[in-house]
Amino acid sequence: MVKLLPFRFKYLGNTLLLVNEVGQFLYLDPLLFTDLITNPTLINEDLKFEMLGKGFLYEEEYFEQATDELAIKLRTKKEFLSNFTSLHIVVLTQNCNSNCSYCHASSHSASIDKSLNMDIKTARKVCETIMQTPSQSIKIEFQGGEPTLNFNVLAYIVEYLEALNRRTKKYLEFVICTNLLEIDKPIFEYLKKHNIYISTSIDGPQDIHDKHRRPINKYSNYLLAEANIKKIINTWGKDKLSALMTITKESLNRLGECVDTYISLGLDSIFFRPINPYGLAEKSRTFSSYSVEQYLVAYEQGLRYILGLNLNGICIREEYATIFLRKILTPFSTGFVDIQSPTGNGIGCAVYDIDGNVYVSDESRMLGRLGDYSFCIGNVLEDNYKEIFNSEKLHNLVTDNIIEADYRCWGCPYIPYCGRDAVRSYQEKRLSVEGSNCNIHKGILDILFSLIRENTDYETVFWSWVTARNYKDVVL
Amino acid sequence: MKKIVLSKSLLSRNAIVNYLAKSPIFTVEELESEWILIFSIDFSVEEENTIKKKIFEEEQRLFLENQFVIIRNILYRKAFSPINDG
Repeated sequence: MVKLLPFRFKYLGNTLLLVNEVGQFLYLDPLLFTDLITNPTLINEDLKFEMLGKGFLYEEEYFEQATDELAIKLRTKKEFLSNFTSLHIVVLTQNCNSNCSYCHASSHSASIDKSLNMDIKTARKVCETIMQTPSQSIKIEFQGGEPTLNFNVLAYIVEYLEALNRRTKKYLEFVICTNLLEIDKPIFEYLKKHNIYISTSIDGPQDIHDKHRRPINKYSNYLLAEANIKKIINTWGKDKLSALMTITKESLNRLGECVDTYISLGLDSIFFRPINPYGLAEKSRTFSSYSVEQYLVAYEQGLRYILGLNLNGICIREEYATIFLRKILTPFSTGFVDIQSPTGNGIGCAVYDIDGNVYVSDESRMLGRLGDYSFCIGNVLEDNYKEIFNSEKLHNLVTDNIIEADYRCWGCPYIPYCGRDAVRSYQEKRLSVEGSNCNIHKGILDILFSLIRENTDYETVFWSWVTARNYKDVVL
Repeated sequence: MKKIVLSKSLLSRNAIVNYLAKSPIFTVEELESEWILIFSIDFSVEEENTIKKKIFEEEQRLFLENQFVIIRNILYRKAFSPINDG
């Protein structure tokens, strides 16, 4: 006799979406649901086999095997926990050469103030702390302000970490988050020599980009960034560079144009990222210039536009969707720390500010900049690795942010794909916009499951994104 | 003012409470065999059916979640308990 294994459900239009504990899913005719949950032996053979195969049902005599199999899948989904902190963000400076209206980091954009740079002594302690992480794979991301404005310290950190790593032999990866306004030849050569990846920001066509990313001098930020992006891609290949987009009120209904801009720059991915409520975006209330509902309508339009391009042979993927699709279509999770459960704060990502303070996420150091140290877990100049990463504060933060045990997520079918950013939740509560991130995640997942249901070609495109292949290669 | 009457034999208190938490727009009266949901606004039959459907959905969710408590416990224990070589 067959019995049910744990799953959650949701009505999506006129169909029912069922998601089991490890993220396997199926669509069901709602008329069959009452039979299924009251007496699963009544369902037809085809459905029974599908549900047995996907871990929604088990044969009573094979309970141990069925739960063993699901337990292995559950461990696989939570594999990111075994790595501990892999992403280490180093804030090199608060100085910036741009004047963005929504700057999350509340950067200082007037003349260069050296007291706002990380010094060598602090940088050295940051390196020694980073190398104590148990993770075998470490990504070091340089942020600011504009990190190229304190390039000597960046070079010191890269070379000191490389020297320390000659003994430990971990996999080190470096990323610089730069607006690409002032990458001169020596900097470019250095980045190339040390294999440092580049993450930049492009908000769309020139008028949209320059509207909020305001230059300090008379030049267009867009044109300067465009020239450097093309130079990097032409001489270095596009694998070394990625770009992030922040959706503003101006780009909300022009996402198709933004996608075209990315393609014209030679980029093959775009991240439809809403404005986060931190820093200057909080002060100026830019984050509330459009609603979650407006964002989701625009998101779906933009995603459909991208899907159409892919079906016509132009390969470009949307990153927000890809993060969720990896969890939906494969047995694995992702390293994206903002959407993890338990939270990735501190245990997936740590941020080292210019003064040596250690925060649990990039957003929490932004709160620190405003005098709120709720998510500061120590200081590299005063505390050792254990005191920072085994602190009661971090333990409590992680155990308080497990969505599987959160009453607000009770019954939500998207639990296996979702996660909690404790800092974002804290900030939402402070600004009385609670649940906005949750509504964005649920909305995007609704869109993705509706698209998968709507057209099998869309699912094939999604597979191509998850496996980093061209659509045509997946079809073949 | 609009009233929706629902049988207590079909709907538990928790299903009503769960729906109430998501749509705090009505008050509830409890009779011997019925729940009476009282809304401050009027709405169509179609909207009434949607509300009923959503409350029944909560009942189904509660039914399943209660049924799965023990298996989930076993599952998480199997997945995350330290492995004992002995």
